[in-house]
Amino acid sequence: MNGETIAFWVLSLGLVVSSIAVVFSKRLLRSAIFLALSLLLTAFFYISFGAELLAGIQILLYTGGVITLIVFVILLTEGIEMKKLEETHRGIVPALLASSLFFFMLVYYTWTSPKVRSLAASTPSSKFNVSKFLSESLFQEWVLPFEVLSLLLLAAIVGALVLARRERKEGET
Amino acid sequence: MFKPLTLEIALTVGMFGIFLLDLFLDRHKKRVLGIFTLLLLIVILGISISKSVYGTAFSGTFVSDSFAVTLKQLFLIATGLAVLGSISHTEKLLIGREGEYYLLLLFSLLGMMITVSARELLLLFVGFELMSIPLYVLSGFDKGNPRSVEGALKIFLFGTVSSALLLLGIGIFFAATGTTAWHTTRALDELNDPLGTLALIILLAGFGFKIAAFPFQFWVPDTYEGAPTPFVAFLSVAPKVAGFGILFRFFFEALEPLASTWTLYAIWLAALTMIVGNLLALPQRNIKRLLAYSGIAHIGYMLLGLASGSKFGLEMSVFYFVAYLFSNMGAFLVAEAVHRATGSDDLDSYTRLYRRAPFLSLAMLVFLLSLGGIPFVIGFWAKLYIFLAAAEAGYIFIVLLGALLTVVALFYYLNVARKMYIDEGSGENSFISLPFDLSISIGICTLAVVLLGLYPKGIVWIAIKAISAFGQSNPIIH
Repeated sequence: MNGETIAFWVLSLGLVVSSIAVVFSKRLLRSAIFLALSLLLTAFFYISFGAELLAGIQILLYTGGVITLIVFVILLTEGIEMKKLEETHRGIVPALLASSLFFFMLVYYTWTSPKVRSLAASTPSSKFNVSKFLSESLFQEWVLPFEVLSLLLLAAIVGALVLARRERKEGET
Repeated sequence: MFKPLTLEIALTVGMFGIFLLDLFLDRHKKRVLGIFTLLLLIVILGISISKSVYGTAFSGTFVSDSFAVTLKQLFLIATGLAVLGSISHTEKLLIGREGEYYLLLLFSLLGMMITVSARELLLLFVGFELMSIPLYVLSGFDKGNPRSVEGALKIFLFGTVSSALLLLGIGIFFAATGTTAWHTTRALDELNDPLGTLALIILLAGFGFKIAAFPFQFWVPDTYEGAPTPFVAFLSVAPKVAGFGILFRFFFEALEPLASTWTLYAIWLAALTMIVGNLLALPQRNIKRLLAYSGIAHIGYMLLGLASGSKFGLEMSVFYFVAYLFSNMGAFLVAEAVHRATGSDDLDSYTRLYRRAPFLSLAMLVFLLSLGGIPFVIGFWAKLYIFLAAAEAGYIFIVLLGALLTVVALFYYLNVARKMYIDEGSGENSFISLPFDLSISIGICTLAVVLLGLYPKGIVWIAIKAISAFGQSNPIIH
């Protein structure tokens, strides 16, 4: 067993445990912290696969950005910071059944696939200058989805405003 | 290069025009926004008739073929009817928020138009999200109503889970084939691998969520019940047609090597969706919930076209889209009119409707007959053709089941008709006056259902032309 394999198993175990902790924590803030941990571990996974840029983006965007926002929201919203969540265990049996069915389906098909074997056997291609390559393809080949994405964000902002804004009563100006 | 994107670009520009106009309008003058939106849609529908919108762009990942253009025209018509039916609704109930309402509708429309043109999974996904996210917001637009909030939360949760599934499926598809794009000239033989089957199953589940096929239909009745009714008319038709559009393009073009596998799944999905939708519609006492369940049943019938796995089946599904569009939107718009007059969606408020609103009850009768599949309105031909396609593919048993369920469906559709025409009701006899916008939109739907029922050939011709885009080595040229 070489170091890489050991690192893989340690990371996987950490990821699974922290993900479960996200769902089972009874306090919102703890859930958020465990979520940060699992996202960070995912970033380490990317590093171990040789995708440093992706790992950097993962840490910047998710661990740095999204989780900070979530923690902010929890801390700024009155009264939910230390509130106990009561209903985290409801419907655990059907949920377990459905997810284990899905899990076995995933395992079965990837296990029997010759394609996965050949992918696993191939050596990772380390691309020099990956960020240059990425930005070029983002603004040439993928420019249409990129532009549509900006419209999508605009729609989401408008939608969030509509839902979150306090409505004026009739007669107010 | 941008010619195939003409419709999308025109819509985006017009949308921002309406967005800007909204900023400068007085709170009580926003009614004009609806009229401008309608005009914009009519202009784009006019552009879509032009031949110059056909073609491909971005190295084949964006395709504007006859299938895409036909579906885009259907979306434009559906959105136009919804906007027309919304004008007095928004003016009364959503005052000051008309701008956002129409803007979100247009965003959703843009998403649909992009997603049916995508021949590449990431573009497809982004377009799909652009379609879905405004729908979540619009479902919860009536914030004062707890049912509306509940319905919005349900469609949001189901929608995001299905988006996650779709992304997983796209990832596995990429792992199996090494690409997210597909071309009609080269079959993706790499899909003949367990990994390909896995991608197929997960993607089918993701799309199944979106078109509300069994067992992913739980959100439908609650969301329909709570959301603004003219929007529900839109929600019940346009996104479903878009979902089918993607299914058709993706399964017929990209997953063609796996056709024998997915027709098998699709036929089960179709049968179960038909059974569940029809049986759950039976006990409903609320017109919107009834139409919600009957809509699920119709999704099952449309899936039959996909399951038949032939071009004939797809053509007949396109025909079904047209029939479903006018009948279902019409029925929901009548529900809106009745709700406006009586303040309730209960079936009992339809008692003796023909005394109070003869035009309205006649229109509702036509829509119900069409949804039930009675000759000679358009819904009859739709069911007949789709059964023909399924029978030709050898699914005799499913056709028998479908015919049997049609009889079940007639029971709950005609129950509404019986209430309107036969039942003795309470003393309420005041005449219902229709708002101008609703009478026009309901009138258009009624005319379409009756006239197209007398002359189904025109729609068959359009459907054949639309599906002719599939299975050609070079599907662009006209």
